[in-house]
Amino acid sequence: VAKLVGVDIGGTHTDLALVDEATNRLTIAKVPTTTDLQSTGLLIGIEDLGIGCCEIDQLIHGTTVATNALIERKGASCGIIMTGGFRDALELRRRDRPKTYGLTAQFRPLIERRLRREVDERTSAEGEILISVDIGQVEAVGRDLLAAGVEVIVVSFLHSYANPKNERLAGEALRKFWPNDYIVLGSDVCPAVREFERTSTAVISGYIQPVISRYLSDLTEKLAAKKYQRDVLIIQSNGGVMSASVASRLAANTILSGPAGGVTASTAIAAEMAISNVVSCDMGGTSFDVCVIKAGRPAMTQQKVIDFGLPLCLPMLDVDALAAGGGSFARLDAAGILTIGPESAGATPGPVCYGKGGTIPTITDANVALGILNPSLAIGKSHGIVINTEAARIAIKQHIGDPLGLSTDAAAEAILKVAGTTMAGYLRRRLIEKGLDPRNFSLVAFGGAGPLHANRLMREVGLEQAIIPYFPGIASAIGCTLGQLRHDFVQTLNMPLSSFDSSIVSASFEKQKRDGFALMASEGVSPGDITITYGADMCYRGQTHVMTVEFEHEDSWDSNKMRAAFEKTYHERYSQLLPNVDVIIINSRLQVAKSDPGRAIAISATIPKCKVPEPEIRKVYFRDAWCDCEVFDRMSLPVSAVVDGPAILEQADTTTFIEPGYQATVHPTGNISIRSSI
Amino acid sequence: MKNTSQGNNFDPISLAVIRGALEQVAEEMDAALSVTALSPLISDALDRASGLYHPKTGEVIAQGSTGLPLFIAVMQSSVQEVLKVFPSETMKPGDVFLLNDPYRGGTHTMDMKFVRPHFRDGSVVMILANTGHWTDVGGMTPGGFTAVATDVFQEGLRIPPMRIVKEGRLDEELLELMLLNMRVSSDRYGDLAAQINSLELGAKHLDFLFDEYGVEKLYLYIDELSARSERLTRDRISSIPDGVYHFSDELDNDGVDPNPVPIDLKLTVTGSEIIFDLSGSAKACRGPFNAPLASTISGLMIGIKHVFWDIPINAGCFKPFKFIIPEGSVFNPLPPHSVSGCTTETVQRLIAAVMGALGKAIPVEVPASPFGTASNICLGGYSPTKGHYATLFIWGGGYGGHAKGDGLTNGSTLVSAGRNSSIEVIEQSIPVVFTRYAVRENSAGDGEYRGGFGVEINIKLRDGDGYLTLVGDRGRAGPPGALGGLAGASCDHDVCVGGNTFKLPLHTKVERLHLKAGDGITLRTPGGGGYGEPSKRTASARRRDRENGYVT
Repeated sequence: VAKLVGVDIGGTHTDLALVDEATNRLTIAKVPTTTDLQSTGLLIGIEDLGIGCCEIDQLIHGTTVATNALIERKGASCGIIMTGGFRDALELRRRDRPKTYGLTAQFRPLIERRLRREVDERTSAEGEILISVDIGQVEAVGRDLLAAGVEVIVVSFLHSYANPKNERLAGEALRKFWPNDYIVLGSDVCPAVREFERTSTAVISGYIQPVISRYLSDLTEKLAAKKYQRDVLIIQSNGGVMSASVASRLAANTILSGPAGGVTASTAIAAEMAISNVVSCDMGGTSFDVCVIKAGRPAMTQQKVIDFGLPLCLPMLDVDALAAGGGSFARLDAAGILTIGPESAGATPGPVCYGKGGTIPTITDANVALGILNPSLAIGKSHGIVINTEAARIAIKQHIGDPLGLSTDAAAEAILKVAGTTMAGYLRRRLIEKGLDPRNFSLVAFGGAGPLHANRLMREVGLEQAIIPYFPGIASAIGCTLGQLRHDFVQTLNMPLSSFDSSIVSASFEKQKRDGFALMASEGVSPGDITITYGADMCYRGQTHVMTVEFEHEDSWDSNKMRAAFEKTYHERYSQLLPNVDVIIINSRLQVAKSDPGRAIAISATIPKCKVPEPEIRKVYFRDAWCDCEVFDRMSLPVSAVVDGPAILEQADTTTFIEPGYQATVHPTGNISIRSSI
Repeated sequence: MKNTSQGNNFDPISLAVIRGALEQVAEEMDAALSVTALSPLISDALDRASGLYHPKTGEVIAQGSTGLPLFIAVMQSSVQEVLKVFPSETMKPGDVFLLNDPYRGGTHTMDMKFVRPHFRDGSVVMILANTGHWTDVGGMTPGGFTAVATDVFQEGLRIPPMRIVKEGRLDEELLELMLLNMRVSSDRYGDLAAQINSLELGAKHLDFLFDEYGVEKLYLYIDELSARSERLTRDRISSIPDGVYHFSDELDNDGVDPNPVPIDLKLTVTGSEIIFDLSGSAKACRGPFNAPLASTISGLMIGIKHVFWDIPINAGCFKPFKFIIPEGSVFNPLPPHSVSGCTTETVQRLIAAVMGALGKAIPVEVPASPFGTASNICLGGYSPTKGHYATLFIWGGGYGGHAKGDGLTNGSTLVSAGRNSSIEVIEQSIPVVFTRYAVRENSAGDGEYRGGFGVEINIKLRDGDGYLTLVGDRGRAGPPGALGGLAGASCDHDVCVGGNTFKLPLHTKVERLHLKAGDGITLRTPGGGGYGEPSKRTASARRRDRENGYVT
């Protein structure tokens, strides 16, 4: 039993959740994010929780420090040494442009050309050293870059995934005089084929490493000064956690740290409600983050493009973000058709109803205009803002209603419908791309705006039910407290099953296992507490898109079994197999995780045991008419309470809307389930 | 834009929803095709497109946003050609048709189009189609892009509209005949499966839409979307000052005759209409640089879309345009003229010509000329280590500078937004080694905003025998600048065979040059044209270019 504090730092708010395992009590705090130095807000938040740092047993932290530094191009000064003839790999990308039409795109690589250097060396695709690395050149170029003010040095050579020898030798030579630990080798960060993606991943890692490192050491010091005794844990992009000391080294693993907490929360909520398949949907002010969780396991991906020309190849939760949130603008496009987003009002000026200068109507304005959001409660309260319903209605009339010939009510509802369809279409595609049937999935909707739209989404996508977590506004922070120590490893093999060599496969897995155990040992986990998952990226010969397949452990790996596992997964997703085509094992993958039985969310003690209270009645516009809608204080609803739509459930920072024909039930876990009542 | 005339009868919500749903079906088909295809041109270079078409007219209803631009007009022409032979009343559920004939609404033979009718209550209510570039369909040159073909028969198997799947059953005999005529044919089966599969996936989705709205209502909205698209296109055209805008250019040669091939475009803007007149261009040439009519029209439309990118693609967006393209022109050849270089060279330059002409009317909105050549390298042969192989590389180059900044370095060709394969993956699969893949220094056209840079590539054969074909252009003159900006560097190369380094007689073209281990080619692609007077370029921008070694 312990006191755990989960911290989720978002663009506008820093959310904290204190879980006291002894009493099953949950305490929450929500403070403004301090953008310049996130740790300041974090410490204020801890004070708000009413707990001394010395009483905290474990602080678990989801951070957007790395992502922000990358997107805003505020990372460290990096230099890179590459194979002769290839220093421009970062700048040339894979020959592309960001949009199909229009030729005015611009691109600036993370490292300027003058800081990209070359040395003589070459390894073949088969891993044979064709030219040994010229160490004298490495030293000369390294010293030159150091003199040019470079803090981080990246070494990325062609085919280093097949044989890292030249990169290692260069790294050792640099280590002799480089003044810090910021020496990044491509083959260490991402030993996988494709020079641009691997180099980009290594450079991103180097670029944010000092930023993360400085941030974490500042945080650790501040916490230590307040007598926090333990290691800080950081959420990784793969959903697992790692210790702050490891995070400074594996900085690139924190790029998707932000959205990961919510996915972990959804996974835990599904588990405690005994639902196997869910879609995690986090809808905040500007984005709608979706992750499919099948049979209790979140979907993973091996590559994400962070920005044009910035791919990152690391195992990550497959969280897809659509630019649609409460603050998304509703507009008529050039063809006069209503569209939502991708631009949004952000925190400033915010929606029109905030009265802070916004003039273009947003999704939030539509919810306010139709009475779904209570002007005296909801978002307004925590911002200290008086919600101006009339201003929202006027903006909707001017920008949408009048040009389309719709009443203001109908125009506001049109905004919600089109927003719903956009999100529903996006969500449905995520499922269908993975070969999954929406009817077998439930929605877990959270974030400030998720519960408002959950019913519409489940209806339009055809999902089984919608789950609204007990504390939807801080689900991500709660998710942080549930993270598991976990690390992923990848190694390119490029082995056709037609010339399968079991010993090479075993050797690769063995090495990954050794590395994994060493890393876990540094985080205080003993070998007996480690669970290993074996997998591989595979494809038919000729394909460039790989599929990740998992295997049971074998003492002797068998090509027929591996092909069967690949074809099973392939068939599920794309139906048509290619029986006469060879299958290639592109990469071996291995995951080590601390095998504690995933913590459950411990909050049942705070659910009241009374009768369902009498609701207030409020007028809400839905399906072309104003109707009477029952409004409940969500926190007053006891277990098994049943509420028929149309109804609204209000709580501190979130509002849940239940449509006519649907029914909400309070589950013993405190979560609410919305299902069709017909 | 106002909600004019008939617009008021439409529920604006359904309009938004149906538009999104139609696009989504096309995009899902594109995504599925990319992921499962075996031709890297489909999976990596995105040399493929998917769309929905009208069951009677064959006109495009929606096309995926990541589809190859080249197929904007080509796909509907292909569907129309299928309908000519197989009117929709004669189609059966489960049928899939196939064609690749350049002279039936096509491009070059490597683009395989699959067409599938979608049935509701026994009749065809929509047509789904996709196209994918197969790495090889036979013909004189491995990889299909020939530099010297003098008729279409040398360019691979030519397939008229044919029922490849009959009521759900694949015609194995026909398939065998096809595959027997193609190199590395085992991979082609995978491409075929991927294309058919993607159509099935699209069909599943389309059913949701028909279930929800019914055929009649759906088409009411489809027609309205088309009308909106036409109005938007007309609005955009109206923003261009009326006038006749002329742009001329020339291809280096046609790969057979050494003389230049003139391109001449007269673009006339009158109110909300544009007339493209190509009568001043060359007659059909002997070499493979003729562009079949459908690909010419696609090129003209792409030029418009690269400037007015927000015009949605459906039947309506074609309406405000008229085309004067005489039969027998290099832009409207008659069979059996050869055509394999049409997409990557002739049509690319036509797109640049449209932009060049528009640039004279609305210079602030149009960048200077882009690199304009794919400089295709086809390489095939036999290697003791890698076996038989046939592969194809398409290269990027610099885009033109524009009113907001310098041009992009190493952009995709104008007919595609696809990526190239990674050097490491290429070296794994065929017996070559790259010694250089770099920014081509000093290749950008100078200007207030300079062009983007071209690339410099060196490839060497590692073992066995290889045959190298280069199909490029822009070797005589670089891409022109705009508003006083200078031209980018022209395309250049050095060939190294048996220790001798030399230049090819036809600048940018050579057919099946025999290579042995150690032989290879260095290719330098053009940079983009500069925008604005070079004297206006800021000192800091010049210093940055020098410090970074872009300009020496």
